[in-house]
Amino acid sequence: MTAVAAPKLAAAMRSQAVLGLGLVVISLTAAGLVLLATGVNPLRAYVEILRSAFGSVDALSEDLVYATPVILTALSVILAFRCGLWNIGADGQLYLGAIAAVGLGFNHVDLPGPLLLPAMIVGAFVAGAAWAAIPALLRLRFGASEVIVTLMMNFLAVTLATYLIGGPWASGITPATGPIAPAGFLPSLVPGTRVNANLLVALAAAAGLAFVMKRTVFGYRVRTIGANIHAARFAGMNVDRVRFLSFAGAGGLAGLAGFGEVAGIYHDLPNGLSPGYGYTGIVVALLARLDPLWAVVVAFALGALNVGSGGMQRALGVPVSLVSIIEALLILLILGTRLMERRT
Amino acid sequence: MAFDHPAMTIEDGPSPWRLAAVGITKRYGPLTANDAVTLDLRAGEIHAVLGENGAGKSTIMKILYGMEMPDAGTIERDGQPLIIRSPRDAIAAGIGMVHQHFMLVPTLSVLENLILGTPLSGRFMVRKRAVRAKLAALAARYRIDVDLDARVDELSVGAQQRVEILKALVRGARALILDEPTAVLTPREVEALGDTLRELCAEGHGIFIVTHKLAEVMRLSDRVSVMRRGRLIGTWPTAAVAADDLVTHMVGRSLQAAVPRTARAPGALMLEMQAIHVPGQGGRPGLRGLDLRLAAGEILGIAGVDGNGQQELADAITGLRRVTSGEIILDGEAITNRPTATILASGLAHVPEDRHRDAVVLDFPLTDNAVLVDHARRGIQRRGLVDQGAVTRFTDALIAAFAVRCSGPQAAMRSLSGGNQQRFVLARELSRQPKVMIAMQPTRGLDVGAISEVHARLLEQRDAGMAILLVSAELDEILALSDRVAVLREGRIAGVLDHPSVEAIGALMLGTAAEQAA
Repeated sequence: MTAVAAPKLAAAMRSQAVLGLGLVVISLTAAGLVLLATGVNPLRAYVEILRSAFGSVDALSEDLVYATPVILTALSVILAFRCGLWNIGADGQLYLGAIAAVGLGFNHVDLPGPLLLPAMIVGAFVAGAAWAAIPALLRLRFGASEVIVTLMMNFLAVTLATYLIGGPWASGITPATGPIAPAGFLPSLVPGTRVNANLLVALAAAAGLAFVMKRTVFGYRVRTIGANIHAARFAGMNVDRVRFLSFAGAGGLAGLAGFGEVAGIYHDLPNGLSPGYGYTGIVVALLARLDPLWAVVVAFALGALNVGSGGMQRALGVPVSLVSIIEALLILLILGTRLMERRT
Repeated sequence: MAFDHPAMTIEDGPSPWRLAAVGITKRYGPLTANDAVTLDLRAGEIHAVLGENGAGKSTIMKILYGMEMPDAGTIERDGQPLIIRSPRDAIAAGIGMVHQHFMLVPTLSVLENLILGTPLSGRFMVRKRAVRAKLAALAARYRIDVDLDARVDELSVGAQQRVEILKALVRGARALILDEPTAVLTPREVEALGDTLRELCAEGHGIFIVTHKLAEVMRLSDRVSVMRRGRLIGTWPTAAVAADDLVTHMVGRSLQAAVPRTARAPGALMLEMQAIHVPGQGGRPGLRGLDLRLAAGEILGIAGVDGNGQQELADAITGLRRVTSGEIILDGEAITNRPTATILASGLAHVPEDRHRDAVVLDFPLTDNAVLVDHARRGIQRRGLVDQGAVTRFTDALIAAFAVRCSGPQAAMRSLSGGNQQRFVLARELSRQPKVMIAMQPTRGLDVGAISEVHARLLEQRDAGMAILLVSAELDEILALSDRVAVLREGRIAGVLDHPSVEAIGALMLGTAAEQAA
């Protein structure tokens, strides 16, 4: 940007940071009161969270393992939202991506080793995009609410996965499909941990999306449609086409998350593959203000909170629901501050 | 106690009352919507408030109904000041309003809508049976024909309006405000509405009708007031005023600020519309076989009462609305139903009527707004990448060319004044070097200085050979700028005038010319 804009940006980021810190303090205090009420020393609890989240290579790596799919689903939500559409279906698109990846890797297709991984990536992206294309078409052709349709299609996707796991692709041993060929395994980034190369895919996707939004004609069209769809129409933009492509692209990004879980973590398609990564993606997208790069930061922070609170639960016997309360408090506070900002 | 409702207990006949808005002034930023307006309403009369869109008639009614607070002035009943801060206060004071867009719950029955929020609904339980007879009697008394058990969304528009009127009566309204009540009605329904209103007057109610339809004013009202540009021009007994005079009052006698102009030298035919049909929506006529010819180097003014096809006309040319039959030819090339982008690229510029909604993205900086139409042009983008340097240079050029006051190319469009926003839009559209430009209400909401500047720019372009279609509700503007004036009425060109005058245009606008000829 220009020289004039830089200090402004820095100031904006500083005030953002102060605000964010304040919010964390408030929510930690509020959650501390809840912890106190249940007879747990909040300070000990927080130390335990920090230790479990950041205290070891293992801990850090688990933060990243959680963050990887969430980055991708958050990007998916962001891309759709930037042109004014809600993608509640990232979870379903993730499943479709996973199904495609397993379908290719589970020796159903005989591909030479080095081609298998690229085929799985492309397949996962296309499957997620195709799954998202359905609600996009229904919305653009018939005006059907994409919120409802994508939400419903999540259940379809999970059911489809369950059917494949129990039926045609059953391993017969575990509640999962049979394993994929080893050529379809994503390499680990840190030996001995579960952090895998899909993290790089997610980071590249975030950088790519940020670039597309800021610098390309397509991104400009998406932003314009999201900011004022009437002006976009009057300026001659093909609004429906841009929205369709964005929504399908959003589905593809979520599909990549599914690919990563299969190729990087499980090496098969287990029952309950996603603990709601698609929905977490919505939260991350909103907290990151639809900024792809901030989504990476927020996803990592949520990952740390998740891993850390899991550790606290094991160490102190705090019920997991309390952990959810802390997370919810934090999110509500941040979103509440956003609303107040908009008022003023 | 619920049955002590005033509307249901008046048995002692009408008693005289007088409601008055005195010296009401209301400003929205630089725009004065009401300038010391005084209007009154008496028991038993229908008082029509006539004026073009933007004349301020809706504003004064919103103030009477408590939806807006005046900056100065008072509302009085029988000389006593009334304090009305909200519609709730207005209802308590016996003032009811039927909005142009109805405020009914579509999924509830008529009966439920009528008692919703009133003491009649009971505190906890809906006591339908107990109130049904009362409501039926009330409806019968005013000859309002509605089925109390019908669901509102199954009713015709006319029937919904009757429900709205009844709703106001149930809430005790003595003074009734109807905002454009006939806009959505069929002629038969208009007649029925007239009967109901006269019945109400006989019972001692008073009615304000806000409208821009002159014929109905003459037929329905006892008195008529005309508003123009926020001012009250006058109030007359309807029987004592001629329709022609009302038109003149409504559109204004032209005080043409002489814009210097050269003689007309029209060139080749640039835009031709042949028998264009566009379906109407929501009671609007659409376009019904419209023919139009526009040559290079001329400004063709489109006059007409709002809602007679102006929007459809612009949308048809720009490809934003489907034309069902007919042909549109731009500089020899058929553009009927082509994509908007194609039409714009083949030499059309468009200054839309609703600037904030359609012409700019308020949250974007000027740079992003500068390339709204031409973002895919070579020089602005290369291989799908936007050249930010080129965009900024282009924006700087637009700002300089039209002296747009702003903090720089990165300023948010929102931060500019209306006049500067419009300057920017004009600069952008003219930079595209179009053959034809559609300018819809190009000076709406601008101050005097900005208006004359926009006018000068349009004339400058005309002299340079551009073909300009000027659609405006301001007859002064049409007369000051146009070489020829076409009058749009009910989706057709009612006539084209080479030497336009207020009287001739007014006659065509209202269709009295045809009647006189017949």
